[in-house]
Amino acid sequence: MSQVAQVAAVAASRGAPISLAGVGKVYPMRRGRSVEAVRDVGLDIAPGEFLALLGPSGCGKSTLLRMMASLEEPTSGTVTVDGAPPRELAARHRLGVAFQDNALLPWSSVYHNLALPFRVAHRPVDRARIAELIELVGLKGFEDARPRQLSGGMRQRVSIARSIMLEPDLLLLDEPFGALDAVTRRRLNAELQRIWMADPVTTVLVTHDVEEALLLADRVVVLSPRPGRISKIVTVPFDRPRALDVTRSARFHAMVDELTAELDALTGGVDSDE
Amino acid sequence: MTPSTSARATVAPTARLPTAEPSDEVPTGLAPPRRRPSVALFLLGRVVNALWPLALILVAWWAWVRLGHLPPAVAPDPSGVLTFIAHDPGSFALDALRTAGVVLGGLVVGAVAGALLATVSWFSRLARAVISGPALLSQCLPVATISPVLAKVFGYNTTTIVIITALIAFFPVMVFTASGLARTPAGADDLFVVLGARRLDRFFRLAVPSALPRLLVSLRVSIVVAVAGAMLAQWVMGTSGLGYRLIIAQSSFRTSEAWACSVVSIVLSVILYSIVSGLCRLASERFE
Repeated sequence: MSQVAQVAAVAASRGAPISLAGVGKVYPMRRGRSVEAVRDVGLDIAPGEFLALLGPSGCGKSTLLRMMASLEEPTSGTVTVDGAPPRELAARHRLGVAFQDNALLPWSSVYHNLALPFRVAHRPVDRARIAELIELVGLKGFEDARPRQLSGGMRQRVSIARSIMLEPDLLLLDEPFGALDAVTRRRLNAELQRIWMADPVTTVLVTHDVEEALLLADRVVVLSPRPGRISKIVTVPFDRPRALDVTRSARFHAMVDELTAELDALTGGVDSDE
Repeated sequence: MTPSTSARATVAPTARLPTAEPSDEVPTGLAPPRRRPSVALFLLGRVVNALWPLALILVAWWAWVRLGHLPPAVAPDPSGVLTFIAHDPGSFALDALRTAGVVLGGLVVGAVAGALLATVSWFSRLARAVISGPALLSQCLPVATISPVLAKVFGYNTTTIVIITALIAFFPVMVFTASGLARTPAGADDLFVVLGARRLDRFFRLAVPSALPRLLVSLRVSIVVAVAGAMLAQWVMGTSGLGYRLIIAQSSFRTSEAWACSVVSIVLSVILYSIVSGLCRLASERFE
């Protein structure tokens, strides 16, 4: 481990552990039918760990994330964060979530969108903290812009900045760059890595992009298509920061190939949107 | 775990990202701010814009009376009516002002009541169920039938007419606001859950801003029905204002005066609508 990585590892003990035990989710549909999104998922995520949930579209990875975010209740099994239901973490304002569709308030400026977590938590708005994060995500000078005046990539940066505003104990990222073009996406991934290394907190990233998962995560959990089940767990061995020398290495490519093959096998030749 | 500041300390200037100039992401709307005309000019433009259909109506009316050779006692032509108004502009202005006062009073009371009812409905499903029935029923009762009842209860005075106007004006505001409160931007409901927002914060920081555009639209609807309602209430109950003057003139066969009241009330309605919708547009421009 390099010197830098060790420093990061020391800081990494922050955050809440997550435990999923026998988690299943069934959505009732019309005429008594139902769809099983997730079946029997068991997983323990350590404090300060960066975990990626990888899988084809419709494999229930977002459902798993929404259960950790207290947005859905599991039909069977339990989801606990720090030994309690996730909603307790949310109630204490210790949960940070970045959604795929940014969920910025269209009537508020960048600054006021970023001040929202403070206001909702009834804490004094920390202007210095907001300025620091605006700088960190490269949006200096756009404080007064409305979301519709920003590009998709910039909106996601605001969304990421908002999610870590209160230094949460758990960070959940639901395909935050899923709707962006490949170039912007790669750069924001590099940014996200740096942002995370500055405060390595327990993080769960949902993605269908193999390279994104390997670039960012400590462990990659591969889910099978509906109903979502864990089909493979891979530990990512690379030190951080993972720069070009890592992503161009033969080992990285081998892992990309391995996980891509796993995804191909899971979808079984059925068209996925990759 | 308490929020730690040690982690934040590691965000040294070196953590600044190479994205301070997002070159490939051109912000689309950061053009120089549009110049806004002054409020007075803006309103004037609105009024002119609203008045040309009136001119068209006047021409059609004139053609109808002249080509049909209708006697003045049946239908006076525009020049006769306008001459009548010009003969005594002060009294028509006063009556118009009285009616306008009732309309605006009714609109304010109705809008506040409608917004409050929508708010209560937002907070309580039970309240929504309790409110929706009587609210709908109130719109099914014709002004002509409820006015005498309300007059018996509240007395034959301006207050009762304001109440009747408010009773008509509140409904669009209530319906539009209630639907606006529920029309939150995509993902925002989830966001407020994960932020651990309390109900009151969710209301003021999410539902109210979401409802504002629709609330403004509802005021434009309300002002029109409020004018009609106020005219009718004055017509039925008879205290003062254009509606009252209309019924008196009509029953005394002073056709020109009756028609003059109608003309003034239409102009009043258009002007009030223009003012309200102009103000709403200004508000929504500031807001968006």
